[in-house]
Amino acid sequence: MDLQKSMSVAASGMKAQGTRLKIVAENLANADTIMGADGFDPYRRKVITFKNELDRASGANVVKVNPMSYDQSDFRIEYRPTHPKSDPDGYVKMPNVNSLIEVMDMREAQRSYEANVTMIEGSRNMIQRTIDLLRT
Amino acid sequence: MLGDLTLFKMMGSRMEYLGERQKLLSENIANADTPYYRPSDLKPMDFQKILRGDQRIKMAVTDQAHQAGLLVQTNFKAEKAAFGKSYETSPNGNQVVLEEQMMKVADLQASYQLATNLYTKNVSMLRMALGNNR
Repeated sequence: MDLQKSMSVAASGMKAQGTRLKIVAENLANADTIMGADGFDPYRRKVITFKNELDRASGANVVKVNPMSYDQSDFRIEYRPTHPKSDPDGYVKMPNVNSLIEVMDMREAQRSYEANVTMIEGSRNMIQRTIDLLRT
Repeated sequence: MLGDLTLFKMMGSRMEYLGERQKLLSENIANADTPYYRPSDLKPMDFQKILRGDQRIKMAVTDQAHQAGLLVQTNFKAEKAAFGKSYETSPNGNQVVLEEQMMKVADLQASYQLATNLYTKNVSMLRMALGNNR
């Protein structure tokens, strides 16, 4: 039934936005992590991208999350001569996370998530109304 | 039975149309952040077409081995928004405007309520005519 399909599409959207929020949280939490996972460079900002995919089971265009990629922009440089990881000139490489961008991303994800919730509520209402036809 | 009455048939196909449209709109909203996604919508319902009924011609089956061919089951045609022709295109090429979609959803919900209410009304009118109304 179409209404159920519409709910599953909205659910896929919510899942994608939830993953996005998770990545934003990771980036924000690691905004000052000087030692990244490779033990050499600081934390590199993660980037999430969405793609549109046809779900063959339901015939609907659902949202999928692409494999994680990393922001290749330059690291922030800070002058901290006393830091153990500073280079001979006294500079330390900091993660390329901009908390302003992350917060904006978070707001956008939140807004899209809410839109999907509204969609699910609407579909549920429609299903309920159809069932109520039986009562007349 | 009830489905044979034109009015009920119309309500049925109206609800089918609205359900299909709800699915498309939720695809649009779910993909509101997908790059290069173009929103799609159903063509408005054609009253004359419904009145005429489904008049597509099928191939005659004169032998058991004949196959009638697959007729596409959906009666409603979805169309994607033309490239660059939408209200707004975001920098990542996405053309979904959440507000616009929400407006369409609200409109659709009202139409659906109208259809179900009319259906209920018709049933109660039939009951009244039958005379077993308490």
